[in-house]
Amino acid sequence: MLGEISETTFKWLDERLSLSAVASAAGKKKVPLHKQSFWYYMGGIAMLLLAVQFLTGILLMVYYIPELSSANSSVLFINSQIDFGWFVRSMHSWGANILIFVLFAHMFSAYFMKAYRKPRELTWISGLGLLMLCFGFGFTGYLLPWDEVAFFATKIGIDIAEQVPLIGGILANLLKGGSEVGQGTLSRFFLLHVIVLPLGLFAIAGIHLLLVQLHGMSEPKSFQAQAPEKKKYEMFFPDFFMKDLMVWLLAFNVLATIVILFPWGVGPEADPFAAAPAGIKPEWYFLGMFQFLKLLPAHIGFIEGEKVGLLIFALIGGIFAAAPFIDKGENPKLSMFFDIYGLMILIGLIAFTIWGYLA
Amino acid sequence: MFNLTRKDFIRVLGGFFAAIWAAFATYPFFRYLMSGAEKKTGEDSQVTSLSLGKADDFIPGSSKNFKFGSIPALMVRTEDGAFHAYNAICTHLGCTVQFSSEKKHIFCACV
Ligand code: HEM
Repeated sequence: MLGEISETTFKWLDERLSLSAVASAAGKKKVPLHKQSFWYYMGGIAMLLLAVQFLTGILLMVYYIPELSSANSSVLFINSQIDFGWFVRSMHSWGANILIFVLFAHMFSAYFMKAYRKPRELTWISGLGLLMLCFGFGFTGYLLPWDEVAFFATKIGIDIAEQVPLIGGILANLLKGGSEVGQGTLSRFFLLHVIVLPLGLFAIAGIHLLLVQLHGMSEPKSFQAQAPEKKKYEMFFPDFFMKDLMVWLLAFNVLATIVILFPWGVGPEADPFAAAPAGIKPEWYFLGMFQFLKLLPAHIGFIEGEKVGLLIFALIGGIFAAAPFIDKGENPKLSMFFDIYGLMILIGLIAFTIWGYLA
Repeated sequence: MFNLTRKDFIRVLGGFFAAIWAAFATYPFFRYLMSGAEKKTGEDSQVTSLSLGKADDFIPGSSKNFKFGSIPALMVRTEDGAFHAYNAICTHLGCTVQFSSEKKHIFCACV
């Protein structure tokens, strides 16, 4: 009886949506099994965390008020008055940070496994776009509780944006939306955070995931070099998918546990006319770059130090992004160069971040 | 009579735990949305009386809609000079009622 109903329902949908074509395509997808297979889960974890961000973000908007005199108290209200408000808020704050951490792992694992090589150049580029968008989410979201730390961190961030060559002034004004960081900034950051960036994220994530389905999982060189009978695969559906589900469950539960043990607090309301308190720092994922900029002298030659710093970032990042177009896998020396290059970036990033913490 | 295979047993058990997990995972979000309506704002509970002005300002047969805490209220001074105050929420559809001084009765415009 039940089986009959679901069979007819499936048939009805299948005739209209070609479900079996999709199912048979998914049924063919294979995932290579090797020592680094573990990293194939990272993109999926990012997807789960993204879903958590959307859900909790929508819930926060139910009570959050993007207005200068209410923003901080509305967050405080969520944290202290609304049932499980602290839970939802902390899921969103912790989730954001863990998502960015997972994205770093995803990015560097794809990089070192050379997954960016043909035909996956656009997967790589769209991935970098997603990371930039997530940085944007982090930067704009940080201001929304309108607490002291957020206020001054945003001032610094906009100040740095102002140093971008040529368009810096325009960029800073567009972000600020007023002569000073104030209601205009809060409104704009809110809109960016809840409408503009999500739309961009949907579009680019769609492309990213479509490309992943199109290409299947990349196979590392060491795996490709194996004799055909030694190469092991597992079916994406149901084997890998089942494990994916388990990893999602684990990731969600780990997040919930962290949230319960270390709920996210609210700082004192920002006072635009008070002196900056000690220890203003950007979020950890900007901290390395921030520390690097701090080390530069005010002027290098004719140019301001920060401008030089941003140009250096652009150069380093540009080469990193261009890796698939230079390191095509034909030249072992180039391949080696990019291995070392990536390693230096990774070590530099970690070192400057720790330095920023201790400074 | 009732033949449960090992596989079915595991399935049912798995579904059972999944359902428990889902309940635990969704309950906080449900409570989060519910508690907005349940929270009393300080205003509601505190107001027990308020002044609408001098008694002489209201001629007999006049009325005034006003705010009582968070509740819409209606004060009517009848022809006999007596003051009457009501909760102005209509019992029919929850609109706010008013007083017609011509027809001398309370009515709701939401019909
Ligand atoms: C919101 C952000 C992102 C989501 C949701 C996401 C999702 C995914 C998923 C589900 C996969 C397939 C499974 C896997 O390999 O892990 C994947 C693959 C891939 N992603 Fe991402 N990703 C994101 C960001 C990035 C970033 C920042 C990069 C690097 C710049 C990147 C580069 C790649 C590459 C090169 C692959 C192909 C890996 C392979 O075939 O071995 N992605 N992504």
